[in-house]
Amino acid sequence: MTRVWLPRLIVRRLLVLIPLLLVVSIAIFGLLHLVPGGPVRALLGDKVATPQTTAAIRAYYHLDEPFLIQYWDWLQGVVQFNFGRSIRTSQLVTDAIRERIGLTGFLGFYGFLITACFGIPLGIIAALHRSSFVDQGIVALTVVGVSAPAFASGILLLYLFSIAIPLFPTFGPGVDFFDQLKHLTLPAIAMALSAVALIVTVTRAAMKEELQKDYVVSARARGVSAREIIFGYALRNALIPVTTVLGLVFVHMITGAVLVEVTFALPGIGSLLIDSIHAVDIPMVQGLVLVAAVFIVAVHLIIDILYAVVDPRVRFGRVSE
Amino acid sequence: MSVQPLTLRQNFVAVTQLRRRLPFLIWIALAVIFFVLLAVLFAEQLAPLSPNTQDLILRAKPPSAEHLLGTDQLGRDILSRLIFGARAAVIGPLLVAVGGFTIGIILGLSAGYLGGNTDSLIMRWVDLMYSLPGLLVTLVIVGIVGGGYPLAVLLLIIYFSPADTRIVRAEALKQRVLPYVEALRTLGIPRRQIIFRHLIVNVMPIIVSYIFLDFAFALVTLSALAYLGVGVPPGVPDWGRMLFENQTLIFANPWAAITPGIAIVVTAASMNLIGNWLFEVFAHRTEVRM
Amino acid sequence: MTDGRATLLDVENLHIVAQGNGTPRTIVNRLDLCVRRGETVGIVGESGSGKSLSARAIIKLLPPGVSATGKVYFGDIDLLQATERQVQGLRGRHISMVFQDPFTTLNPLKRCGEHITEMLLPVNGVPSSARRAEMLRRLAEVGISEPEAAERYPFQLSGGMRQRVALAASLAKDPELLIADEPSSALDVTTEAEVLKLIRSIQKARGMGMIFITHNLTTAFAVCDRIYVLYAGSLVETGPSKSLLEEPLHPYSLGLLLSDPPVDRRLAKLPTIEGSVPRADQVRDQCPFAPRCRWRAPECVAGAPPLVNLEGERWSACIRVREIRAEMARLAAQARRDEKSIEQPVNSQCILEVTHLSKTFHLRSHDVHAVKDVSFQIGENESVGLVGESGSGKTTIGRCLVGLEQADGGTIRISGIDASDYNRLSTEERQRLRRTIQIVFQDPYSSLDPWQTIGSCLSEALALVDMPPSERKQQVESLLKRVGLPPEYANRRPLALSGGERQRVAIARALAVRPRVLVCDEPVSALDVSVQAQVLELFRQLHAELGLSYLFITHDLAVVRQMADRVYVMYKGEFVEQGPVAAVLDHPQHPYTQRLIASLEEYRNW
Repeated sequence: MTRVWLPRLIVRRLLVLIPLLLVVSIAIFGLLHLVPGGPVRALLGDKVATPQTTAAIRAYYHLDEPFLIQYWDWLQGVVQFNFGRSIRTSQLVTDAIRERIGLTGFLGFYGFLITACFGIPLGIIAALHRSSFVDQGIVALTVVGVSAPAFASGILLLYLFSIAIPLFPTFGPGVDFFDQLKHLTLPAIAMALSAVALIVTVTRAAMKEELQKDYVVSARARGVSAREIIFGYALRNALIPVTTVLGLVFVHMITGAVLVEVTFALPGIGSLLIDSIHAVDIPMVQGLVLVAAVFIVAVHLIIDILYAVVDPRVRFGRVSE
Repeated sequence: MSVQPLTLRQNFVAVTQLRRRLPFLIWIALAVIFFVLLAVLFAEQLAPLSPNTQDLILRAKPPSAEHLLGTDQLGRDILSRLIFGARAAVIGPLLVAVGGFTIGIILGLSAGYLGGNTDSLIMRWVDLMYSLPGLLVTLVIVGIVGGGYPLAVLLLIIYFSPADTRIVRAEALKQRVLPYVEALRTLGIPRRQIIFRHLIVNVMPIIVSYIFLDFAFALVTLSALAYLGVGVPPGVPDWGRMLFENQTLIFANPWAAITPGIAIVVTAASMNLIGNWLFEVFAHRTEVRM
Repeated sequence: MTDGRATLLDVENLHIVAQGNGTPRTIVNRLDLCVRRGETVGIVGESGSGKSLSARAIIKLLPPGVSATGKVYFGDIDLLQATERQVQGLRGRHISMVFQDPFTTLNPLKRCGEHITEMLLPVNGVPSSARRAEMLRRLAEVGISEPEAAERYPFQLSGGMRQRVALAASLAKDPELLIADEPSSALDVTTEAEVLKLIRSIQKARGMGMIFITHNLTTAFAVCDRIYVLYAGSLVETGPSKSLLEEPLHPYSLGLLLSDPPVDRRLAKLPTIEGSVPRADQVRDQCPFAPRCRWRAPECVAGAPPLVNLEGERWSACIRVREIRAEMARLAAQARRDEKSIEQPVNSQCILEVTHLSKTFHLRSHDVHAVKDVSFQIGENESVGLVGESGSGKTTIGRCLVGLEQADGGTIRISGIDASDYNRLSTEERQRLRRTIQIVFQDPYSSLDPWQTIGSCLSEALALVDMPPSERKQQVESLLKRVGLPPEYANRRPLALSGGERQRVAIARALAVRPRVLVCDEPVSALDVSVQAQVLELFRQLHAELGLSYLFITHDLAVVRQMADRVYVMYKGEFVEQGPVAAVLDHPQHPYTQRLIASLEEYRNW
């Protein structure tokens, strides 16, 4: 019963997730055909539609063959990391992604750190100081955090800490590591705000509920130390509902990342996506969305594993009581 | 003496009478919503100027007597645009919240009460939708296919409905195993009557509070989409779009860039506060026995 | 109180208030209490008496919004005045507490052994190397001898096992005083007896003082040396349990004692206390029991009566006790003599027949054979008891009869209709069936739609028997009258009614369709003790007046004795014994039945 559950769990999840990924990839591929004007128009981009160019496009992209054959060709390319070329810049899609993914990764990680460092501790503090000013202050912050889209808080932060009080640089990604750190601080905060708010809300509610439960009162009556009660009893159990919301938190972070990259003019894959959408650069959009889909699936798998780690009842096949 | 069941409205009034003291913050939230609704209905009367009149001489100017919040890149009055922007900020999110829950109620009650294959089918759909990042999907589809604001609203309704279905289903499941529902079944009361006369009434209060929360989230999401240039309502000002248009003015007229953001945050926060408060009121209806 | 033993705990003038939503609510008016080393003191009260919160006040673990004033002396320290730090130091090491619900009292994410080892730190004089051995020793002390149990998580153990683990953990630091808050109320009868015996033996072996909280007076008699009787937040009587049992000196104690029906004989009339338990605030400046007391006089409501020392260690808060003492004793003697033989109905037509019924539940990890090949009959106007502990399958049988569960095998015939599968019946047959058999559930607090008025609820049921709307109002009133409720109740919603009243409404609703068989699934277990007898008496009346047949499902043998003519004893899905009630209860043949009766023997007969 000890370590066997982990590989079994992973296999079980993959059996669901991989088909899901395939279905999603079909939808991504199908985007090409959803463009108003037809796939040829989309693939031509700015070029003129002459019989020759049209025929060339049709041949190159196998547009005369049945849908599934086209999909299969495309999928073969994808598996070999060949997503085609950008219509807008003629650059290889994979090259474009590779150039920019570092910055987005840095931003994402920074935001994740902020969320992890502030989210749960603030939730615990709020629960422990119930109904005091500290608690009410934290709750007010969470309401604002959930109500403020990343671009709105981004611009506000920009104004306050970059223009009114020039602490941080305004736009752009920065040059070396420490410069990047300075440049990415405000964007990371803006991006993480709603995620932090969500985690604080759930942690606070979960901790408050656990602290009222019988097993906590029993433990206190036995003389268990306050520290053990908070961490070994309440928090450990409160983490279960928190892990259920991690997926949502992650989604907030992704959307936040895209928004702040636009706001702060950061050349990451988020802003690349937006530019590509506006230019109807199909191959680029397909490549980016596919990368995102794989990433999301991987993160969901990790969350599922985390959930089983946190709640032993899941490992034994029992639903939580 | 009436032996009619209490109507939904009477129930609601009864419940709000239980909590006679409204917290101070809720009064503020209600006031905000009131003003926003005023702006939606009476924008023409309230706004000092037309939102679309361009004045290229006075572009990007800070607040003045004539333009209380200054002007934007094209010389349009910010304040008027803010007031007119309330329409897009209310109609879309309202449609999403109500639409999402309409689907949620139909599917959630069916899944929760009927159970069995209906339930598994619906829940499989819910789980599938849950793993998609709705904003990105909507972004890509509306961006590529076109379709603007209406398509964005429609896609968001579809995006919100699985979460709403899950909520309604959870409530229905909770109610379904309660003895009073079983008693109604054994008496032989037809299923339709149980669902529509009893279940809905018991499930509605929680749903109403969630609708407020959904509205807030829909507002945030729609403004984010508009900010990114996707799904912008045509011809009318939109707070999210205004933010994008004016963000480069942050040095010349910071008000132009900040006020749309504040409008979004304050409106969404008010709806969130009301939703949270309602949730607490309804959830604590249950009595405490010692 | 001078018998040489040291006083461990001395509570003076404890007053507890709850601060909910603005207006403060009194929970406990005034409680004085003392516990000596080696003795067990019982606090007996129903819901709303404040007994549980009193216990939590002593150990200073009141829930948020509840506060206590007064003095709680443990040795020299007044716990209510002491700092949290000081009290924290006392908890576990000198005073400890065991709680009621074994299913929520342990940390679901900690293994059972860990609950104990975390209390055995080097600080307490246990070196790390010896911790595991010490933990196993303590598990053995509470009757858990397999060491594997220590590695299990709570959800893998039964209720009785979990309670033992909780007990071991509470005693890990060897306290001198143990507070046990209804430690066995949530357990089965047989497990309950074991756990009580265990607690008592541990207490004696360690020479601890104990406060034992319970709602059941007769359990208290078996376990405690002295008893405090609490009602609606006030102490009404206290004294040594033996003398209290022989002669209660307060109308409430008398009523409470008599409310618990005996197992050894059927009573012609169940002694009831009319009305229901009030809130402490409603009866603050008077005798709290006065509204329900048959001996109430003007002086009883003139002011709060003090607790007066009558003789020896006996104290009573009844002003009129000296006058009414003789009458109370007479009533008690009369009730004790009351006996009625159980007549079997002669040659009654069989109205319900079950043959080879079986039902298995398929859970994710394993199958549960709830009912395995069960057969029985119920005749017209017959009251049949189905007795078993939790998990025996008795509730499943009841649910199969009314169509809430679908049996896997066997047949059910009710009044000529094949009720084995409700889904396969025609609409007309199903309708007829539902007018023949109905059910009353256990929990009155959730068996009525909270948003519906009583009148509307009953009217809805009447509509099912095609009663025209014009007549319904009258019928609703007559139904209410039949179950002993005033007609004005039709306008009220369930929230405004007490538990006993709600159960009456549930019965009225079931009666609205004029059934011939009523399945009663533990209909009084969730009610206050002083109200249970009322509802049982109502069931009896209806049985006689309407000629109903009952399937009375219960875990309580005393209820079976009072309510049923024949009984089936169920254990793990099968009938192990059956027969006329007197025969089965007086001369049990099957070892399980014998065990059930033996568990009650100690303390159920007065």
